[in-house]
Amino acid sequence: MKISEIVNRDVITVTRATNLRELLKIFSKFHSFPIIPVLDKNGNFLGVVTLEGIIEQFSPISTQLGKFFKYAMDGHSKIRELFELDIPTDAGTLFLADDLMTKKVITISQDKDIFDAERIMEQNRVDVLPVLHGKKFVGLISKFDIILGILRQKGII
Amino acid sequence: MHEIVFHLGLIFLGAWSLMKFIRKLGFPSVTAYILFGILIGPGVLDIVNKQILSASPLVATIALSFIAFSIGQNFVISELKTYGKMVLLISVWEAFLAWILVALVMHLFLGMDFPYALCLGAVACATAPAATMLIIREYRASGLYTKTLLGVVALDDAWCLIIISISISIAKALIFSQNSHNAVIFFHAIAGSIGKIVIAFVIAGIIIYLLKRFSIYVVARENLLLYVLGFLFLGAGISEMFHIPLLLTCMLMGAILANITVETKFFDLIHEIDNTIYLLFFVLSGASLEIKLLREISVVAIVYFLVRLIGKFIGSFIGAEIAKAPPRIKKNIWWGLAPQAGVALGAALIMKEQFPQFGDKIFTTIITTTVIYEILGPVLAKIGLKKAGEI
Repeated sequence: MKISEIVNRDVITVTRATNLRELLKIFSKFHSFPIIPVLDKNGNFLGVVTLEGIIEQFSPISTQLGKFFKYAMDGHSKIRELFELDIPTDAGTLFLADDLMTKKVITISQDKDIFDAERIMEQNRVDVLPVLHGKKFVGLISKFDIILGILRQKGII
Repeated sequence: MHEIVFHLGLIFLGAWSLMKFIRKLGFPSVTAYILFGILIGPGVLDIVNKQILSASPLVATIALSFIAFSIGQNFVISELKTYGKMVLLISVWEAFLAWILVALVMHLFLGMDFPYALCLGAVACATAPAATMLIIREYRASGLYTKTLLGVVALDDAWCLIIISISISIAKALIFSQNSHNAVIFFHAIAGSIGKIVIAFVIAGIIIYLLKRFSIYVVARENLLLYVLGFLFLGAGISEMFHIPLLLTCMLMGAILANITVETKFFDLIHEIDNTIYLLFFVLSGASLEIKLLREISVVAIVYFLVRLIGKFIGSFIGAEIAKAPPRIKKNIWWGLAPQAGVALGAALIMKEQFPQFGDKIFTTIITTTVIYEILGPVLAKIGLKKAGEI
């Protein structure tokens, strides 16, 4: 089954200029924080905002270097650090999606099989992948979408 | 056999307990691991199982291949640009100057044989992030100085691995061909080093190509760890077979992999298990310290300790000057470059193995100074950050 058949196209996206407060407002109604695709005005995919990206903004050491220096981090958890941080109240309007987003995102083409999507998710420990057609953003595919697709194929729904 | 596992258990729990205590005092865990190793080693309490001790070259090789592979991960070409010219220049200059200054002072003033001095100098370029990072996190330091310092510490280990590889081949050439003219040997050694870098690149390229090519057949993440370890060890082993330093090959493997894919799963998997290996590596390094050599190397160790810092200071100053860095960075960046740990210890272990003439003296010097640097590291990093006005 192709990814294009089951991809979830009904996705909330933001632009680079969306600020942190707006982002959090939109997603505070959700059960958990998803990944938020950031698009340019032509619908091209630029990156995603993740919870990690938001935490990283307040952390002195970037995730990339943090990963490299992990053996020197002495078991600090990023979220635990957040408790101790002094975050200025204007941070909500100061930080834009452009600062928060990560450009190093694993994406998948809509022409690929859902089996590939499952493998990539499993190996990289991610639950959602942005689906692209060339550079254009198509939608998101989650583990739930894959399960839905399989069950639909088996005639259960 | 039961005795070995019993001792392994003691090592893990003992090192962990000491680490908890040392961290309360504000020092990095590495200090605790090495001190714990010295404590249980033959020089002090002599309670560590000899069979575990004899496994330390294996543990060191594995730890080094992990460290080098992770260093390579930082060499993503698109990201190197974001580090900027300043980080690049400072890291190159401080690494090279520490190497050359330590080697020259050891050779000219302490009358050390040139190969010995050259190798000790090579180890001097390595830095370690742990102590500096502790302070950065503790004081939530941020700013240009902090960013530059972290970039420099991340990059200079790569130069260090290259310098170590070159130094080892020059030292070998000098020792094994005493008769011919020095300049000829030198030329051969340098040409040989460049050749080795090329071969290492080819080996790393082939291994990573195969790793990437066949990774589609790995489905479960659990199997992926076996898969990546298999290729990593294969690469390290093949490079040893061709007498190429495995540090170089593993670093290039990491760099090539990080450049051809945005997926970090291979590195993440290694990071999930490397803590255990690093702990064992540091403890066993500590336990291999030969206390009786301490008196013999005391002068060398003191000179090494000071000259390395001077080299770091002058080198980073020149690099920053060329990059037109602000004065507060130019004058203070070296404070954070003092600590040394994994790469330095690993290189010293390699030299211990390859140069029986002086290798154990290098190792003893490095392990002693590492403990001191790591204890002083947080203090020095704090001074640097304060002087630069970022805490």
